[in-house]
Amino acid sequence: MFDNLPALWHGLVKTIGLTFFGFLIGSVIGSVIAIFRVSPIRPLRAFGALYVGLMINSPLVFLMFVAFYGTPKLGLLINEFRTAAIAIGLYLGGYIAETLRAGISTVSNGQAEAARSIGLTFGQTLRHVVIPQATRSSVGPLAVLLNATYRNVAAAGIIGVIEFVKAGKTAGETTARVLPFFVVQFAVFIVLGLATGFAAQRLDQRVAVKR
Amino acid sequence: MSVSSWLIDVKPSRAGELQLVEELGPRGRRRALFSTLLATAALAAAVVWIIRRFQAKGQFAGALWAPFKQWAIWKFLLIGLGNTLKAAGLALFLSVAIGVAMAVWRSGPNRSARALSSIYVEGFRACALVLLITFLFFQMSRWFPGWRLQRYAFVALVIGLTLYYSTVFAEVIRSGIRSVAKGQTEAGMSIGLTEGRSLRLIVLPQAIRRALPNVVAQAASLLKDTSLGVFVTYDELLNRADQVGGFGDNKLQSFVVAGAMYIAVIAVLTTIANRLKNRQGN
Repeated sequence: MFDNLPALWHGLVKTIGLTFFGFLIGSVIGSVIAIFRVSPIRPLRAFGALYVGLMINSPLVFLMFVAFYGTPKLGLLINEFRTAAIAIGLYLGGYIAETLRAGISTVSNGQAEAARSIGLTFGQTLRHVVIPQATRSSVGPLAVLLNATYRNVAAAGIIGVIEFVKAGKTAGETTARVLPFFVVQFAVFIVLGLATGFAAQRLDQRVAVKR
Repeated sequence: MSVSSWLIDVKPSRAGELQLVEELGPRGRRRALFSTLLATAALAAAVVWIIRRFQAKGQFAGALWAPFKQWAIWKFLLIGLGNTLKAAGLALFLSVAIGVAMAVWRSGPNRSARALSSIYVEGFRACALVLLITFLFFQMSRWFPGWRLQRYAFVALVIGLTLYYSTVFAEVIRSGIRSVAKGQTEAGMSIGLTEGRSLRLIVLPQAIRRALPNVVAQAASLLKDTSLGVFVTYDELLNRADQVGGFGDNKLQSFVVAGAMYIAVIAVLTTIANRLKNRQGN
């Protein structure tokens, strides 16, 4: 058990890294797609809806496989970690877009009307009026998403990334003692869950829009 | 003019949502048209780039797609889909049953039942599903030696999914219970029911009705997570796609076909969930 603690630690670092980079990529994609979906331009809306529909209905393991076998064919020769980060980013992009769009629809119509009546354009209305409010009311749902993500990144194990769960599995199989590793990993997940849940709640309260 | 009026729609895509722009004037239309063309061109360029890259590597070659002209390959994949649905269906049934029980105990008057169900829900909700499934798969072979490999895989997958998703359904149904007005419980108690009975007989049916859209949405999520069966070599759709791809050296194509089947089935559930949600919204 103790001999394998460094391996578990490296796995945990990879899991957190995948969560971080996945969320980073996902936020960029998600913001763009969310703007597409609220824009008045039909082709962009349709593309946004198609993207969200595809990502939200795909199993993450499937995206892992597609990224794993697809990226070399695109000429991108990258390691498993980056491949997994891309797959997670694409997947989260759909979810983050939906979350942001839900956030946007909590902003009342009067706000957008007021912005237009003082002459702000579509871009300015979004930038100065809608997005600041929308992101604040999206903090709670985004934190729930983050909480689900560091558990879901275990799917990266299927393409050979030695993340936390896979590190424990490997260690358990080589020592032929699975139970202790399971208990330790379970405990780590519970601690992580409580920590992110608590942090999210605090943040959510701090940025809440008073209406 | 007619092209731009087809391209531009100032109404939000769903009724009642935020309207961000007014009807555009001639200058606004020109600008919108210009940015539409620009954005569409950029998107199209990206798509074309991907297609060209795949084409350069011969990924659209007939030989790589030829296996999917054969019924035998489809049959092989469909049996995998059937196995996926079998595991997902059983896990769904079990986890909804346990979830309802947990939600009722956690909202009920009995203190120890409340504590136990809280621990169960908060505990398994925090755990990664892959960890549960792989652990069960390994441990099952010690507890019950002598089964076939597929049986271990199936049982580990179903139990793992059930442990995790029962907590999800418990939370969904509990929030349904909380949304039912307090007067309903009080009315039940005033006609002589105990607190527990009025929770089960009066509040719960209304709560389940309200929770239904979320239950269906989470059922879609459960179906998605059934794909984690590949971690324990369960004979499901993606696993079979891997085998088809290994045989014809066309893994990417096989996964795309299998993924399309997955997405089609899951999209049906997601659509039902959205319909139910919209109907309740009105």
